[in-house]
Amino acid sequence: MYSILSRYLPGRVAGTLTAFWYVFLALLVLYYAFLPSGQFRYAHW
Amino acid sequence: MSTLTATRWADVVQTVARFSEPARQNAAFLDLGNRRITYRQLTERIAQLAGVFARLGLQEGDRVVVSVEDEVETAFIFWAMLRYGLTAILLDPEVKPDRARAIIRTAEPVAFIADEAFLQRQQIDAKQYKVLPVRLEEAPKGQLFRKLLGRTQSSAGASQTYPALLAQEKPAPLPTAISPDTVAYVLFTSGTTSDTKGVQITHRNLFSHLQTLTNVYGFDADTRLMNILLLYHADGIIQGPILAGYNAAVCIRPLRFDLSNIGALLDAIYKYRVTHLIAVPAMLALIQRFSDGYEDSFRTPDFRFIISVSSHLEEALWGAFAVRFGVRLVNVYGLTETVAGGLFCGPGDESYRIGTVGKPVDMEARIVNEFDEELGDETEGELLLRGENVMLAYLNNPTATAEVLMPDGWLRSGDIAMRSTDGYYRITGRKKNIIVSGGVNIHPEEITEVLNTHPAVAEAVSFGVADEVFGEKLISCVVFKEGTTATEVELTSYCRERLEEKKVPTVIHSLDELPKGLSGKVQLKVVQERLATHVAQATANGPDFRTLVREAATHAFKVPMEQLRPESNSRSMAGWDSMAHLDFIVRLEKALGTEFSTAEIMVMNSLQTAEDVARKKLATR
Amino acid sequence: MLVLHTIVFFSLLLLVPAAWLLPERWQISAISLLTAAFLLYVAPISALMLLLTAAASYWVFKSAWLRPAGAVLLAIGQAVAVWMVFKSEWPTHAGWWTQVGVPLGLSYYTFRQIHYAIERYKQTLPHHTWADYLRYLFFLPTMLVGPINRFPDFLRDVRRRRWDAALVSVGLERVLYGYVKVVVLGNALFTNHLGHLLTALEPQHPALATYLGILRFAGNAYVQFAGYSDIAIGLSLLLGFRTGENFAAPFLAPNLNDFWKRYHISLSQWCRDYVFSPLLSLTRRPMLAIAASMLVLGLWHEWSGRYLVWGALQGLGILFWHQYQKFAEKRPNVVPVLPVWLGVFLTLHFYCFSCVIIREPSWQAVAHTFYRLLS
Repeated sequence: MYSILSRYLPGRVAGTLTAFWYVFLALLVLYYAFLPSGQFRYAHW
Repeated sequence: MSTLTATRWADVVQTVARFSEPARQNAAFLDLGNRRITYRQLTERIAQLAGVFARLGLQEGDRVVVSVEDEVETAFIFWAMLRYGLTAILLDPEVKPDRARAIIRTAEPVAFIADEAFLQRQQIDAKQYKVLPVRLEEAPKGQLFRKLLGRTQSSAGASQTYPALLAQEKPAPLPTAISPDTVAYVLFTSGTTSDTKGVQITHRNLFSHLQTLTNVYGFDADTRLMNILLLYHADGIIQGPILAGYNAAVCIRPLRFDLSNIGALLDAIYKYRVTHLIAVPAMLALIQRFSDGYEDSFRTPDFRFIISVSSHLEEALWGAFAVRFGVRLVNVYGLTETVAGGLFCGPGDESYRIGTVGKPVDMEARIVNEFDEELGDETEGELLLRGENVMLAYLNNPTATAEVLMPDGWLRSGDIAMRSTDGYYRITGRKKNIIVSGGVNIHPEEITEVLNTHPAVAEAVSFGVADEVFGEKLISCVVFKEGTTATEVELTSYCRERLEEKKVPTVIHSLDELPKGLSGKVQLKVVQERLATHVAQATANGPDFRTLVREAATHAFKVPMEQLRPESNSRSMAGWDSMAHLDFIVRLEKALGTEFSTAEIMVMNSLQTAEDVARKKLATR
Repeated sequence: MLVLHTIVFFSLLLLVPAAWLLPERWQISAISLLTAAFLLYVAPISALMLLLTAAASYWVFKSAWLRPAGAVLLAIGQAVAVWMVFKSEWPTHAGWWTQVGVPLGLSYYTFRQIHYAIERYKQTLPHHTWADYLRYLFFLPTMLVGPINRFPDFLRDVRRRRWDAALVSVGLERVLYGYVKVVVLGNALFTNHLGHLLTALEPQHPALATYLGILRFAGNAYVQFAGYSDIAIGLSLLLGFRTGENFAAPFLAPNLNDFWKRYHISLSQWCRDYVFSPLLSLTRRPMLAIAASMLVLGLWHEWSGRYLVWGALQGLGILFWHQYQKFAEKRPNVVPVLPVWLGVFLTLHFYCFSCVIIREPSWQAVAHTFYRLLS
């Protein structure tokens, strides 16, 4: 993410945005992580 | 037309002072993979060795023979001697006793720092010379546990060994200045015993050139230079621990080059964050051939370019290698007599043209005809060089010096070159009779001289023929005395006892006579033509796999046919090293008219498997 | 899900520190030992099976009285036999095995062992030891959900790995993205939200709901599996290993042949190297080789009739595409060259529709689904 952003934005801004992006994703994952739907098993692993 | 800029360079006193700057203390000087030497250790060792030098009463400019197998100690000793102003006579520990004796006779040293084995072999008298024997303690077992428990290696009973002895030494003050005209080191180039040539390089030569190399390559303290060439060759030591030290950078030597660890070598580029690799063309040719699946090796965030040194880089290999690995190969043209370089092809685009040797840096170059008259562009002639890095003279050999060094400072390179109108130099031939095989200079006379001393040999001649991998390989022809004879294997082992491994001829042919011209000189062209027809006849036979394999093996490994067993393998046979292995494969390929794949070649590590693979190969054709 | 969380936490808390903080020569062994400990704790039978098959596939080549051809057949044979026994769920049916289904990671390490056996037979492997082989197989990040990484690549990474902050950062990012794919896209979006939506849609628009359901199944399978692969690749990176990619935007593939070069890459490459190529060189019949490798690819998922048919369909699709290509080259005026978007559309739909077969529990249900689609 950072490598993409830093192409268009100054390093600091890109770094901050990247950090926010990661935090956002992490929160999203945490929010949904406890849904009772993890039935997926690809080829019986 | 020539680039000559007055460069400022740091002398040895300034350079060594940099080692003990706080930032360098824990920085690595050498990285051997399993062992890391810091600049602090280097500084300490320089001080300790100064104590030894003082105790031995050595003075600036004294010549001291150095012949130590251990690489770390060699690097330590070399730096310490530079700092103390002593002249190092670098003598390969593998050099044969006869040659060593000749070199010592010419060099007239006052002291020896050498392995005990060397001192015994050469019968160095401790009364006649000042001697510092080097006997390293054997690596004790269970080192890991010691490391984990935080114990150092100094254990009881080791006090007699070299590093422990040094620790007891009283450090002596270092000289405050070293004259730039003091000879820093002497390297003996190949030559006959009656005509040994020791290249004397002064501090000015060395350090001004280290600055040139630093500028050209763009080195600084963050450089991570990998150089695994042997330290007793100029390119190994000078463009290795010495150039790294000049920049307070690290020199990486995690392994020895071998056909079986090309993968490991390429992986080391990433593992050790190498920025520059110093290599000889023979090495590059082997990498090019045995690196399927390793094409990404030089595309690391750190790597910048490969530096090809010491012999001619074939244009085809150069281009193919650069494309395959997506890497720039910088070619350095130079002689032992010019420290290392002189003309550089790359790294910048303005001096980079594949197939040329680029342009001179901090040197003047000119091309002259046989009357030493300067020639214009696009005309072939001998290449002359002049600059601060040109040697002082050959040690105690004014005749040889006068042949190459002109009074006004120009050095005859012995190479035929041509300059393009836009300033690129191209080497087109060679004036001097020298063979460059795998990056090692060989004077064919030296081999001929040895063969001539064999009781059965009436006369001999040696010359080089083109070789895909090694650039050139050495061939000798002998004529036997009436009523006597000797096998090739006998002659080879005779050579092996008297010559370094790389100077042993790949093939020795016996002829009825050596064709001579009117002047009495052997006509090499005629000899070569005769040999070509000879070889063609020999390969006309049908494939008897066992015999073909044994024939290839007996020639490649220089072992008598009757000693070969199917189970003979790379570990059980002395002559079976990686170079001989390839020679063996190529011979076999020629004999069978086929080409083996990488996988097949790697598998052929015994005569039996070679035979099996060859049989299978031809069966599936 | 729980196993995934456990693996990730176990890796971050124990594997990664062990992989970098211990002395270098112990790092790799520590990874394998921790993996073995993890397996022993989670599923002792799985650990035992992996060790037994690993031993068999390695030591058979050391046997003095076996020729190489015999050894390779035995090594492959034992791996396939174990795999078939468990994948056919025969032990469960036979009644002497009730609790545990298939040993963890069986499909992946069976194929790793076959890869090893064949390469060993071909003598292409670099010098290695029994411990190296065990380290390759007992490598937690890729053990349970692939990719089916190759032994020489693994060995190479063992040799060249070093602490690299950039690599670790990429690895962490990769794990996070993987989690987003699995948890947010797969579980929350495809499974739950889309599920509710389709349930609500079904009464009024049964055909549309069925169609979307078909796309949903394939889409879910893709994001979930790609997510797991991301996590596996990310965890490998955290340990200093660069495991190859397993997916490359497969749903943008313009034809089925290309699709299978972008979907579950490590498996399709395995089939190419160990089914397609040998058969091709043996028979010189490309069609036969393609058909066989797609059958194996199908059966790898499950030893059952529906996967056999599913695999055969993929094979037929590729064969059809090849024939079409050939024909189009011969008669450029007669056969139109498809625009790329149409190729992508057709490929996607062919794949999604073929997946109906593996989604439904019975052939009647498959037929019913297609029937509803047309209603």
